[in-house]
Order: sequence, then structure tokens, then C-alpha cells
Amino acid sequence: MGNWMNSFVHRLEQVEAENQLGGGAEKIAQQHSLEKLTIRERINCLSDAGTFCEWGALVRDVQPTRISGEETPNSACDGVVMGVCRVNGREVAVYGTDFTVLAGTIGNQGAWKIADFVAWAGKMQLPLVAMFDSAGERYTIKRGDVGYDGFSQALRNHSINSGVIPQIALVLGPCTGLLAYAASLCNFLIMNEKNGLLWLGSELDSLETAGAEMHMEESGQCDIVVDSDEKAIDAAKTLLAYMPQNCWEKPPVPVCEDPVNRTEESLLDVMPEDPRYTYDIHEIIDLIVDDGEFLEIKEDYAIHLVVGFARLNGQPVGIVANNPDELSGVLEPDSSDKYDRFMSFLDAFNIPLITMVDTSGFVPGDKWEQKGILRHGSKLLHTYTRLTIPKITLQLRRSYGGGNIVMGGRGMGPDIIIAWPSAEYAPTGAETVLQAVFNKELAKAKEEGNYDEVHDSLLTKLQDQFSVMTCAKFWTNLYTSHVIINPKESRPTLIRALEQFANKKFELPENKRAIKPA
Amino acid sequence: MNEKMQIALDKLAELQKQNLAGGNQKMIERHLAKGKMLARDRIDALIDPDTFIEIGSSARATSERIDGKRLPEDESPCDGAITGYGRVNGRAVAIYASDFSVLAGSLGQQHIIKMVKIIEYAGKYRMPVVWLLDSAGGRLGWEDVAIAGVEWFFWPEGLFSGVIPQITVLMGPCIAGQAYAPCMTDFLFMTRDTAHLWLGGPRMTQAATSEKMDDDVGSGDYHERNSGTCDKVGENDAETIRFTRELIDYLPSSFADTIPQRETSDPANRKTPELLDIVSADTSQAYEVRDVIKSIVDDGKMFEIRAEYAKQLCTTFAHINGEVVGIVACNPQYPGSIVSRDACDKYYRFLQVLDAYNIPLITLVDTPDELPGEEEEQLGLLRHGAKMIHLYANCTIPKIAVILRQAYGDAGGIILGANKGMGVDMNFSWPNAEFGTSASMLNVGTIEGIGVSEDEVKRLTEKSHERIDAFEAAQAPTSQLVDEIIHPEQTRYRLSEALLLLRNKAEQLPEKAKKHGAPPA
Repeated sequence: MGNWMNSFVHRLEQVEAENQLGGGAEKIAQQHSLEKLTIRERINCLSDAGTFCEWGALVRDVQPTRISGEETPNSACDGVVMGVCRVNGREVAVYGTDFTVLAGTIGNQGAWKIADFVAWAGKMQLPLVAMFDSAGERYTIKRGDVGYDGFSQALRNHSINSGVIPQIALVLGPCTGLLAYAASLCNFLIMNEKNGLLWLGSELDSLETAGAEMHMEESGQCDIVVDSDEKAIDAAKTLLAYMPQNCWEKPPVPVCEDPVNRTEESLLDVMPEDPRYTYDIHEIIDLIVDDGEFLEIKEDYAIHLVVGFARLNGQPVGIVANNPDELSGVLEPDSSDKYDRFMSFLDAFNIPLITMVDTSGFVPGDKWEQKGILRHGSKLLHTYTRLTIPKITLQLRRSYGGGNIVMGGRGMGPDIIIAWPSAEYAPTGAETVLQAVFNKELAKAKEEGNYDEVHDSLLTKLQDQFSVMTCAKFWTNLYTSHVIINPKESRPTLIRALEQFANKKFELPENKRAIKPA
Repeated sequence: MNEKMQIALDKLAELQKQNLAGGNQKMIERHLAKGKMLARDRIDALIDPDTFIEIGSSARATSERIDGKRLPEDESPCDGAITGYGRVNGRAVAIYASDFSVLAGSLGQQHIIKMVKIIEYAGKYRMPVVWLLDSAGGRLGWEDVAIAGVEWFFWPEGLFSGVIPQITVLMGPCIAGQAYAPCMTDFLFMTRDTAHLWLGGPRMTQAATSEKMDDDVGSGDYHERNSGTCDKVGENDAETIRFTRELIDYLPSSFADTIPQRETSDPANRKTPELLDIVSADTSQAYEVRDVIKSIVDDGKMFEIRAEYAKQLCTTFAHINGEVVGIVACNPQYPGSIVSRDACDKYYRFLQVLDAYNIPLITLVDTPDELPGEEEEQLGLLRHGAKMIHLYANCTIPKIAVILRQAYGDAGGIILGANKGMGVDMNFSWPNAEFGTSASMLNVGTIEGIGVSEDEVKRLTEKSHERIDAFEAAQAPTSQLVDEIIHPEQTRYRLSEALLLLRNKAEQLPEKAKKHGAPPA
């Protein structure tokens, strides 16, 4: 190498050194004092050592005097650090805003970096991790500035690559305005409860109002809450391990140490003797899946429906289960939204769905009708019908009304319905049906003084009619089950079913797009 | 003719006589007393005269109640489900009509299979399917339908979604499991006083929760105004059915068909100077955007969907130069933000229909300079807005926008094509329009514990609050805000030309294995 190159290399090294410092030592210290990592520390934490290949490292805010009036403001990478790294050996695209640089605000160049990078990740069919920590927008629309156009393109690229590549958002600081839309477009949104703030833009007085807890419990916009940046990144890694790289692949299947044929006597003891009492569905899930490991999504939102990832003999599955412990496991609009979004994701990325059913169904009444409970229920029917992944229904106990249908009843085309002998199909509880249909007969019996006799005889008839032991006698019955098992056999039965359905092929009738209830 | 044939013919004639007579006479009288039309009259009102081709007309109830009660054959004509085909303005449609005089239109097994099969046939033969619905729901307490047994029809409804238009006309009760069915169809029309759609009716709700519901709960108006489930309410059955005839003119027979052009004498290049009077350039003045739409479209005719829900956003079908378009317009006459949860849901439904059936989208943009408040944010505003962003970006139909007055990105501009980045094909601005990236004045520096001062955030972000007029926007195409400034009186002409230019549009988006995204819900 001749000397002529030295000065170039020297300049490059200077830029690289400047980039490592981001917005400067003072800003980095401030970031740490808030218990936040810098963007480069975050990316290091995500990547396998030494695998990060950065893009756009030389980019700066090229209109600095317009921003600060100063001659040389520090605008390393224009506040956006991005590139490709390996996560547990798999290539992953990552971008993030640098809060130490101009408070992580999005400038013209930064906006376009994100726009192009998201499109590029789509083209390369790589999962995308986006880390948000930004005080807002720096770009303008005056004098032909390109940032607003760039960020609109970023939103468009997130959208048109939805269902092509998995996208995970980490909200580790403020994330507002159009940036908050980018985070919301990702498939999963992880928030750090210490510093995460997610808000479109109305007035706001405290971090708490727009914080992780609110979004987890109320808005339904947060999937996982953690209390540190490291844990947020760990959660992203755990999620990625359940996913394929893109929609054309199947998720990876690690070797499983948990015995395939493990039967579980304790499954027989989870349910209380009296069917009016409840139990925690987590106990059942944990006893069935590999090593009792269940990654729950939106665990504090609409808690009467539990959704999350687990493995069975290594095969990743999505589990959707009613939780009788909460509101008797009812369904309503919020749990519908939770279920719907999860289902779309599973289908897009070839992850089988297992539903576990014990629900009294959807709740009636003015309050719920106002919220459009019917269109929300219909949304689930619509999405469930159109799934082409393996779909397995495990009927545990009460499978009532619309609850049975949206959770994968026979008419909805599940690939197999496996039932515990305790399963019971009904429009609603037997007693309610009895009162509604036989009110005249019961009134007459009351007059004639043989109420108990008539009541009990009809009730027994109904209960018998609703039991899976009756329903499953009819293969054509709308409420049939295909296989009735001893509950302790749940794990091996599900694993065998997944093995059988590994090559499932199901084509929907041709159309341009489906029209889903809102 | 031999005797065997004569007996068979007599039997057929008897069945058909029963069919025309309907079910229980008392039920028929009560039905008519409520002002409701009978099932076969409803079919006649829907289709062109003498075009009904019935199938399954010999069907009868085949079961008994669990206490042993059985129904005489002449009381269950068609098992309460009349199905077949007819023509609406010459185009084939498949029809199901429930007969309330037969066991209150309830769903026995023969009834259900007829409902299911007619959707399947319509899907396979690619014609719209119309349900004329009036049914008490599952035939509870009967043997053949062990349980309400309504789930069979959700499957074909979901399967053929976006393949063929599916329309429900609800003219009586619709309850429990069956109540999901109308919500899965593309459109739901209800008759004002007689139609009720509930998950649980008053009696069932009271039994389950002790709640006493008002009479209006579940009515057409209730579901149009409050729950956002019903698309249009008719005064009586005749009007509700007429809506369906009108709507079918705006839709193709299937996603693969084109929509017939409508003849019009309204010139494509007609000037629209009245728009200058309807819309004030003063943004503090409201106006009724329906007047704007009527001025632009053929013969002032529009077919509005969900007019009473989230009224700040108007969604309507119309024709321009004979071609069907879907128009989504901000309506300053009514308060509220375009990016509120309900407005997004309304837009979401309508835009899916347009994209599914290849109907171009025209947006008329005038976003107010405000955002919804804290309450909406906590209801999940971002996921609803993001759902719209996702959909708008993934629609490949021609997308045209006209900016009438104000266009702020965060206040809805980005989902209405007010700048080019989200994929609008052509957008035009009136000369008085103003543009901004954000209506929000939020400064996160004011919040404790953020790690950056109010002043610094102000200094860094103040440019993002700048607003510019249409000329500044159009002067610099690098910002990709607008294609052209037009004179308001040229609005109709420019739109009709744009529609012609975009007729062959073909847009290739990244291919998805499952042909759908994984969008926010």
C-alpha cells in the first residue's frame, strides 16, 4: 500500500472512532444513568460476538446549521445505527435510533436509512429487529426536505413486508409520532418498563401514562414487558428462536430432551371436582409442553385468554387457551384482538396452532354489544377459517356457544379435535338451556308439584346430550371430536398429531384479498 | 300417464302448494301485522321479475323435539330455508331466505345444509350471495341439531371471503351463534323496527347476567351508530332489500369480474365551480363533505356505507365517468379525528372491499389540525392506525387523493394519500391547501425522567412542526408531497382522467407465502 492511502484510512478511522462515541461521553453517561444502554451496546448485546456489519456509518446530518446553528454538531450516523448481525448463528437485520445523538431524533438521512434498510431486509428475507429510543422528528417538509417522504416509505416498507419477514420492535425510550406507528407495525413489541414510552402525540404529562404497564394492560399494544434493556434483547432472541427467517421457511426445531412419550398423571388433578370451580390453564400448558417452557405474549392483557409460544418435541407451536381462572374463560373484544393478531402471525410464519378449550363463550349484554362483540367474534371465525397451518383443538371441559366455534370446533376445519372425556359441548350451560327452552314445561310441573322430577330428568337428558361421550358417537355431528384421550396422554397425542400434519397442504379459493371483519 | 306418475305429480303439486302457503298460519298473521314481508315476497322484491330458480324446495324438517314432539310435514315447508338463484339487473345472484312462519325460521339440520350449500355454490359459480335473514336461531331442544349447530356456515363464509360479494339483509331477530354470520358477510343491512342482532337477546341476557337490556339494543340504528356493525338501515323490508339491489350495481360478480359501466349523461369534464362555495378556505369554517362528493360524482349520486358511524370520515360508493369508485373523505362537519379507533375500523372495512373487488380509491383529504386525546391512545389508537397503514400500503388498486384544505401526516394524512411515500398513485392539491408532518405539539422533554431537556427537544424538533402551503409543497418535488395543484373547478375532470390513466395499473408487492401480512388487530 502506498502512502497515498494512509490519509484516507486515517479519515475513515476517525469517523469510526467518532461513531463509537455516538453523541459523546457525556451523553453516554447520561444514557447509562437512566439505566439505558447505548444503541451500540444494545446491538452488541443482540449479536453473536463480532458479527455486526454496519451500514451507513458515514451518514451525518448534512444540514447541521439548520438544526442547531452550530458549525459541527455531533450527528454520528444521523442518529440511526443499522446493519446485519448473527443471532445464535442466524442472520438478523437490526436498526435502532441513537438517543445520544441529537436525542435520537429522526432526520432526513436517518429516515431514508430506515426506509431503505427495511426494504432491503425484506428483499434479503431476513428477520428485522428495530430498537426505538427517540425524542421525535427532526426533519421538516420545507425546501424540499426528504425526511417525511423517507419515513412514510419506511412505514410502507414495514407494511408490505409484514408477513414476509418477522419484525420485532423494542421500545427502550420515547417512541412517538410516526415512529410509534413503525413500532406498532412490527409483529411483536417489547417494552422496557423503566424508560419505554409509546404514544402517537396528544398531550402527555408523565412517562407512566404512556408506559409499558399501560400498553400491556390497557391498550393491548405491548407484547412483553421487561425491566432492563438486556432483558428486552433477551426476549427478542427468545422470540426469534421460535420463528423461521421468513415466510417461506419453517421454524427451526432444536433437539428435545423432554421425553416424547411423557405421560402426566398430574394432568388428572388440575381440574376441580365441581365443574363450577376454576383452575389456572397455565398448569395444564406447563405440564404438556417441552420442559414446561411457555413464552407468554400479552400476558397481562385480556387475561382470560392465554396466548404464547412453546415447543412439542422441539417443534415450535402457538398455543391459544381459555383461562377458566379469569372471568370463567370468557371471550370478548379485547381477547379477540389478542387472538386474531397472534393467529395471523402463526399462519404467516408456518407455526402450528394448538387451541385449548374451556370457556363459557362470549359475553352478552349492552356493554359488549356496544363494543361490537359480534364483529370481533366474526373476525376470529374469519381468520381461523383461513389458516393453512396445522390447527389442533384440545377440548378440555366447557366448549360453549361461540366459544367452541372460534376455538376450533368441527365446522371451522381444525385438522383434528382431541378431547378429554370431560369435554362438554353446548350453546351455553345445560341449566340455562333448560330454563330457556322448557320454561312452559317447568312452569306446568311447578303447578303440578313435580318440578324437581321434571327438571332433573330434562337436565340429565341435556347433560347427556352435551357430553362428548354422546356427541362423538356421531362423526357428522357438528360438535364431534375425532379422538378422545385419557388426559395424561395429552403430550404424546399432540406430538403425534404434529408429526402427522407436518406436510399439510391446504389451498384457499383464489381471490385478491379476503375481507375481514374489523 | 300411468298411475305412479300421477301420484308423484300430485305429491309434487302438494309440496309446492305447501311451500307457497308457508308454515304456521298464526305466525304468518303475526308476521304481517309487524309490517314484515313474507319470505317469498322478499325474494321477489330482490330480483328481476320471474327469475327465481329454487332448489331444495321439497326439504322438510326431519327431526323431533327431545320431549318427543314432532312437526306435521305441511308445517315445515323447505325446513324454513328457501334457497335458489335469481337475477338482479340481469346479473345472477344466489339467494337464501329464512321463512319465519316455519318454526320461527329456526335452524334445523336441513335448513342449515341449505344455507351452507348455497354459499358454496355461489363461491364456486362466482356470483354474489344474498341472505334474506329472519330467524330465531338454533332449533334448541331438537334432536337433530344436538346443539345450536350453526357453525357450518362460518366456514364457507370465511373461505369465499373476497371471492364473491356476500350481503346480509336482516329483517328479524338474529341471535347467539347465528349472529356472527351477518358480521362475516361484506355488507349488513337491517330493517329499522323489526331487525335485531344480538349475541344474547333480552331473555337470554337476563338469564345469564341478570341485565335488563333496553329495546333498542341490537337494533339496526344501534349497530350502525354504536357498534359499527351495520352498514345501512332501511325503514321497512322493501327499502332494505332495495339497498341490496342498488349495492350490487357497485360490485362485480366476483373478484375476477369487472363491474359494468353505468351509463351517464353527466360530462366527464364538467366543471365544478360550486366547490368554491361549498368549501371555505378558512379552516375554522366547517362544511359538509357529502356536498363536495355530490358535486364531483356522476349525477350527484352516492351510496354511502355506515353513514352514522364515525361521521368524521365518510365512506361511499359512487360513479365517475361511468366507473365505480370508492370515496373516503374527511368530513369537517363532524368533530373527531380521522385516526380515532372507530374511524380507522370503518375505513379498514371499506378499503378491504375496494381492494378485494378492484374498485379504485379516491380520498378527499382535510385532516383537522388535532389528534385524539389520551383516552383514545389508551384504547389502542396506535394499533388501529397501524392497521390502516398496513392496509393502505398493501392495497394495489388505483389510489388517488385530493387535498382540499389541511393535510397533517400524523393526523391521518399518511393513510389518506396526502403525501406520496405511502404509495398513493396520483395526488392533487387545491391551491389553498396546507401541509405539515405533524399536528402534534408534544415535546417529550417536558416529561420527567426522559433524559433530555424541554429546550433541547424544542430546538431539535421545531422544524417538524413547520407548515407550508400548496405552492411550497409543489415547488420541491424532492419532498414528494403532491403531484399537481389543481383548480377546484377541475376536480371532477382531473379525477375522471386519473381513473382512465390508472385503469391498467399493475403493482407488484413483495410476495407473501400466505398472501396476507401479520398486521395489528
